Amino acid sequence: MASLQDSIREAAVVPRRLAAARDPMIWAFLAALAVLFWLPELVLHMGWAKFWIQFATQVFIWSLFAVSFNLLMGYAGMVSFGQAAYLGIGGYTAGLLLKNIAGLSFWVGLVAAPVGGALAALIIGYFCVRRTHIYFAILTLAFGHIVYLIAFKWYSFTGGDNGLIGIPVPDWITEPTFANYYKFVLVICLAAIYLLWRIVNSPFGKTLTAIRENPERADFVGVPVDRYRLYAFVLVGAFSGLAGALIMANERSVNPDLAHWTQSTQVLLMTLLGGVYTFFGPVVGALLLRTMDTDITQNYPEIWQLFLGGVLVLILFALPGGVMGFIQERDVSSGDDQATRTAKMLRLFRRKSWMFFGGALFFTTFFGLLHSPGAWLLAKGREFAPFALTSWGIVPGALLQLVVGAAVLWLLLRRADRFNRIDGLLLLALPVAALALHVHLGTPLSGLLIVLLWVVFTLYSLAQPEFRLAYRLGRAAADGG
Amino acid sequence: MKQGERGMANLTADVLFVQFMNGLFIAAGIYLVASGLSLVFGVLGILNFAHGSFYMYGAFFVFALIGYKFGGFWPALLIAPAIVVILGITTEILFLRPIYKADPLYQLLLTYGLVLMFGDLVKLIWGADNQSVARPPGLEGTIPILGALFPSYQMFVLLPIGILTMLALWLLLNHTQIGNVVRAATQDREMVGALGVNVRLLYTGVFAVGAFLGGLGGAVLAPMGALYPGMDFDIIIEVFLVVVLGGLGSMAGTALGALIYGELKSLGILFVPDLESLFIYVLMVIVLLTRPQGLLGKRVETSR
Repeated sequence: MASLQDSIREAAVVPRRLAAARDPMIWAFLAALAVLFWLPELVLHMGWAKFWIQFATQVFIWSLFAVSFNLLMGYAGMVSFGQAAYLGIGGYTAGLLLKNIAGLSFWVGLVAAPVGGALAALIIGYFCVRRTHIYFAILTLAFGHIVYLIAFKWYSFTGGDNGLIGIPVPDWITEPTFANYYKFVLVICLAAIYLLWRIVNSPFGKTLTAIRENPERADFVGVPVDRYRLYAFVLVGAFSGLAGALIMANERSVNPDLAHWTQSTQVLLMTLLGGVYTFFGPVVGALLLRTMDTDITQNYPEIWQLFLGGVLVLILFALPGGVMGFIQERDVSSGDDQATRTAKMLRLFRRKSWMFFGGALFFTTFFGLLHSPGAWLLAKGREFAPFALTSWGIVPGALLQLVVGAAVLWLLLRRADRFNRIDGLLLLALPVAALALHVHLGTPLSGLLIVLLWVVFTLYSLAQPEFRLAYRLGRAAADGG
Repeated sequence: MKQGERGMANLTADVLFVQFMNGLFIAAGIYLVASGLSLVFGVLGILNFAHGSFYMYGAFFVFALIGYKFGGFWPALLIAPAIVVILGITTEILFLRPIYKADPLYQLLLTYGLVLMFGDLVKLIWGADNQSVARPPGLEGTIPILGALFPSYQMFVLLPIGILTMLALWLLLNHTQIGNVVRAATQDREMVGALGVNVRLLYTGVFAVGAFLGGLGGAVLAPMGALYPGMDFDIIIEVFLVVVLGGLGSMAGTALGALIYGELKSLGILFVPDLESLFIYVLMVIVLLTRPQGLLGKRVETSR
């Protein structure tokens, strides 16, 4: 008799038997490491602001936080509203140890942080995992708020609202360009995210997903549901604690704000924005949200929460699967033959292309406006020249994008079902050209990211087996199947 | 009996009485806000994060109306919740109507997004600084009752309004035709719709009443503390605690939860100052472990 647990084990045997070196994903991680490792050198070589090195560091730390959070939210179906508590506990554990015990190795603090996060998650999770859904959300929120209040009010221990300042960290971290610390964070975060990848694909991860899908059934086949939930909660607490310690070392201080509910909001939003049911969605979300944060708070810090709220509402209404979910979403039913599937994909591709076009237009315009407020008709501080696009203001620029871009996209999409290879390449070339144009115009990074996602989307769609086949066979594939 | 000992005993009894009354004041305040949240959850099934925002807007509208010299505090106390009702109805129609069939967690997330937006709007309109509302003339001082001094505002405004609201809600829900429909809707929403009740209108109406209660709570509590962006979040956590303690959707449970919350908070100060807010958490943990549906909540399997 094959129980659910057996079949879960069965399904997970394959990745378990594979050695780490034979898991194809390890090569992707190593490649990412090899490329991203040299980012500081690139920034310094190109003479860009050193801020970007720190920015990338933050993105990686938040990616780790968000990916681990998604283990809870996406894989185990437990939406926690107080995850910043473990970020804060990790930061305070490492910070307090390093500050109060003179001469303590930085590494001890770094190892203590996930232990502290896991312990706190064990205690709090013991009470929280008994309830699910809304109740779990409220409980985690309430306990998260307790942690914040303790950090905020216990002056003699945590330094109250001043936080812990001047935490001793090794010299190699404080090196002025922050390149060393970036590389350190990169290695740790990639290793941790890879570990999370192995966890979600392990029998344990599959069991969590089974619990998310049907807790009663998992219970019937003998999975100790609450205990598995607690394991997941503790595990995520540990990774969050690690992220907290990394943030602490980045700033050499800890502030109660680290445990504030707004941080929990941010990680929730990163996960939702990037895509809940995808492993790498939260990374995309972290990158997008950090970038938008930088672009918005530069000139308009007071509207950041307003913007976050708007994005959250927009995601819930329009993009329930987040960006990655949107890119990967397919409309397939098992009875479809090749031709139907290709036709369905094409329809979806057209619709999504228009949505990306609209999104890119909106984001580039919106952030352009935030970047140089008041430059409605003419760019500021530049002599107007009709043929120099960089001297155009926001409104004419957006109109040009709208008219020319929409015309070209319409033409290309109309020809898409002929499946000429040239048309496919042109479809890809359009967003690439848009990206190049915006780089030339100096559009803020958030706008560029959306266009970049459009490129990724087009590339991803064209690489799908249905499209590849249709393009290889020409139009016949669409007609005759 | 020696003079000193009797003094001690009297002092203890006095202090206990004072703290008991203070607990009632806290309970009345939190009940005003929590009852709206509980009512909305009971009928609509939505745990409205933005309820704290309604509370905040109630308080800030009072502040604004007084600033415009609009007849002082008393008219503002009535007008502010009315404006919040308009805000609530707009919110319900624009944002909640499309998602009644969605996963409750998505509904929670949506109202969470609204909290963020409402919070920054307050900052944009009134600035990030603390504001304050003066107590209405004649109620600034204290009044002696049984030898102890109590703030007259709490005694003559907050407590009566709290009790009246409780009575009014009880009468409305248990002794009117509308109340019957609302109570039926908390039991089975689809059946009520099938029986020919305009469920859309009912939802909007209940949400409006909920928003009114939140706004009223904010307006009544406005003269008792600072008004600041972020007060919405501070109160919503406590309101959640009260409502979960009493049982989500149970109106009597909410009243009981508010009473326990207020008394624990004010009596807790006597024994463990600084940590009094932890008591409620400890109690909540105990309740959840022994009676997961809350003190007066009904056991519903899906609410697990």
